[in-house]
Amino acid sequence: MSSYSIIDPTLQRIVIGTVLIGLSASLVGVFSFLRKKSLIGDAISHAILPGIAVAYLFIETKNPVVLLIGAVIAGWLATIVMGGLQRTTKLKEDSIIAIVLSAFFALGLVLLSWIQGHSNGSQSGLSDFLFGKVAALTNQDVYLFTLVGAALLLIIGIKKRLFYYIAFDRDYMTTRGFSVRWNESIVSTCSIFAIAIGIQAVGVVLMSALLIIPVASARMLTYRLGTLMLLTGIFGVVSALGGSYLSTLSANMPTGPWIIMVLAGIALLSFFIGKLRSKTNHQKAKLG
Amino acid sequence: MICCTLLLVFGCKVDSTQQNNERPVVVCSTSIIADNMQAVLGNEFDVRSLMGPGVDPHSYNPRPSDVQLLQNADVIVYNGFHLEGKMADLFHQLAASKPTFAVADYFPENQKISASKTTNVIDPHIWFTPESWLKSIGKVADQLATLYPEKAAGIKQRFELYQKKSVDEMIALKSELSTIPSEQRVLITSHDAFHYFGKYFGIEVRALQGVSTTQEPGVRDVLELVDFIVKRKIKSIFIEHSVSPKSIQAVIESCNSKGHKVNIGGTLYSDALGAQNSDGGTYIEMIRHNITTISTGLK
Amino acid sequence: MKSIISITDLQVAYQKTVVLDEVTLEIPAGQITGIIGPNGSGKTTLLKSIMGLIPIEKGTIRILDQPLYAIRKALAYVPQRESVDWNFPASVFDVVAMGRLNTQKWWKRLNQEDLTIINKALEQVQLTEFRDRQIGQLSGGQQQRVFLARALAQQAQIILMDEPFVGVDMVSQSAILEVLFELRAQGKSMIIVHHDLLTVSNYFDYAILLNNKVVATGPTSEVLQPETLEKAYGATLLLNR
Repeated sequence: MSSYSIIDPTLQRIVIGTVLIGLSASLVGVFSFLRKKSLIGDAISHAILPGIAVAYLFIETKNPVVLLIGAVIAGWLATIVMGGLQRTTKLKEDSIIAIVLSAFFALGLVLLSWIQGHSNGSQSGLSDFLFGKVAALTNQDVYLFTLVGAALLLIIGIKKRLFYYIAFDRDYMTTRGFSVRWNESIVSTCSIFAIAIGIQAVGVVLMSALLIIPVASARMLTYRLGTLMLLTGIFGVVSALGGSYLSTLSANMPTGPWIIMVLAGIALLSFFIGKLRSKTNHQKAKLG
Repeated sequence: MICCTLLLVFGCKVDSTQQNNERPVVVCSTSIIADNMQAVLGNEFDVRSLMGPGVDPHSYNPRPSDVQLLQNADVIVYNGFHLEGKMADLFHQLAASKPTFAVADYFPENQKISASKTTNVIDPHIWFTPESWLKSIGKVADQLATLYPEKAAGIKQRFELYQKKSVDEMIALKSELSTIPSEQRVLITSHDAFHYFGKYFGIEVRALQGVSTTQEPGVRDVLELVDFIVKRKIKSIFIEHSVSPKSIQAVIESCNSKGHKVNIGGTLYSDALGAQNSDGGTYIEMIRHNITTISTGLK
Repeated sequence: MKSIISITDLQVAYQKTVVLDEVTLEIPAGQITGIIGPNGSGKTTLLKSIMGLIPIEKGTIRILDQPLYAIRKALAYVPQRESVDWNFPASVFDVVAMGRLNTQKWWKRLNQEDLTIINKALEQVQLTEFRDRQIGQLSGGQQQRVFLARALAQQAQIILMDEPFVGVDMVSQSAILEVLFELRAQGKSMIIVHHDLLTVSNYFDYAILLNNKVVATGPTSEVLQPETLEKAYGATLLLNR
């Protein structure tokens, strides 16, 4: 089995691409988590499918920018529908999420099936959005990820304190005169963009794991925001690198699922370390 | 109201009996099989294709309208060897109530190629071995002749003409590829559809994805293929009409980064024919197009 | 009496139910005012209306004779303890630091002056040793004091509190009261939604008795008369003064 050096262009593309996705998705996930809206990320991941299908119908090539726009529009529509349902019905949040998730996803599948039967070829591959297709990342994809990822990280970096406080005590921040609704929609939009590029790596089905698991694991280890974000980012990067590496070990290995497997390992480890620390803290408190 | 309903019911019944008096409907799974069957069965039969031009049979999910078409058919002909990956159960069910033939069942044992070294799965792209394929089509035609003895003579005659014409053409095409130096005589495509093709027409074959398009290429597959292309200095690689070219683009970019310029030599027809008026609208045209494209790309 | 908040004809509804009906009242400056009344009488709603947290059907609210958006800096809001998830990853310091937020220049980091104010606020509520503790590890009373410290850090003139004594231990109660009395001595005004009639006369100078309408307003001794209480609670209540 031959090994490949780090300067191999394929590997470079894949590493840069997945690290960018891992980093931006996990950090954006911090704020969904703090707002207790992690599950909405799952709904949006699934809701994006019809957006991609429709975008493909308009422009027959698989141009990543066009597909991104389609995905973002679908993501926004899903968000608006969920918000509308929340305001106008007595349904609980988890029911609303389930409804929107399945309805949009089903629409996506219908559109994919229609495309499959009618298109003049080169269309198979839209279903790769279900599980991601890291091996097929091109330079164009990586440029796009860099652009979007950098923008997301910038926004989060600047506004993280505000987002944090608003997630903690919405009413108080309103009384201080902050535009809470506006900031919350920025967080939503960042989530949608992170998901739209993230599904290229891990696919629709596993995307929400990339949003939730890094921050959930970090939360088991700390309660300070700075440390939380640092650990989350590290977990996002490590899982991207680890998953990519593991997928090079043998032929026909999918990358997306391996990234999630690494995350699951990190979550397990964090759980045990967290429990261990609280045990020793307990003992220290007892003795001290 | 009752009159209208009754009229509708009886009206429908009249239609179906009319159909029975007309030509028998033969539904073929792929456009390739449909083209062959059309040539052999002529106007005496109503030959239909389930999958249109450019449709990928590996990942094809039958819709309710497809199931209806199959259920209303008189005869069904499909490829077999799991080419129509998601329809195996459906064909099995249909076989219980009407004549259903898999061309693969008549394919000679010694011509079969394994899909991979590790499994017992047979590579289903058997139409790329023209002489054996046509013999198998002939055997399916014989079955139809037995079912419709009044049309048997026409079938036999048309088949012999078609077989001769096709085989003559194929043998002529065989020599086309021999002028490419052996080091570069490698056909690299999106998915592994060309083993039979390579064996018959004398060219080495490699692919990014496995035998089925539903199998994802992994990172290692891309790495190994890029190395191979750069080492052997392959001039062109080929995409397919029915398969997404995205992974191939990634391969090309990596080769270019490594200093070896490789192009897309063209688009080949693999699992389906092209549209009627394209240069790949029939079985013979499709293979001719492939050979021409490959030889131009690699010379 | 000099009033800091004037409310005229305030009407607030929630899903077709009228919660506050033509409420007109004045809240005095420099005193501790208690908003009391039975459950559902609109106490929290009144507070939230003043803070602009809920929409109003009609009426006006003037704070220091100005509308809310012009005078936000003068107000500090202390929400109900249960309105927040205390398992949130934050320390006591993190929460109190919210009081030093600058709405116009939100990106500004905490400077030395901010730190001094935060530490002083923690001292005032006697939570200095808990500065770096995660807020979920505090008792109910301590959590309430964290909220108060945040309001103190704002250095506002008017503090509005929503049921700050619910589920609070005696130590915390007296600590909070000490701070409130100190603030009153400095001329600040406190408006507090309160749940417990028995302690009203001990805590408050001025009282507003609500039952979706204004039942009575005035110095506590006047409002706590049996006739007025009966109008609000619909029953004769015995109160030991």
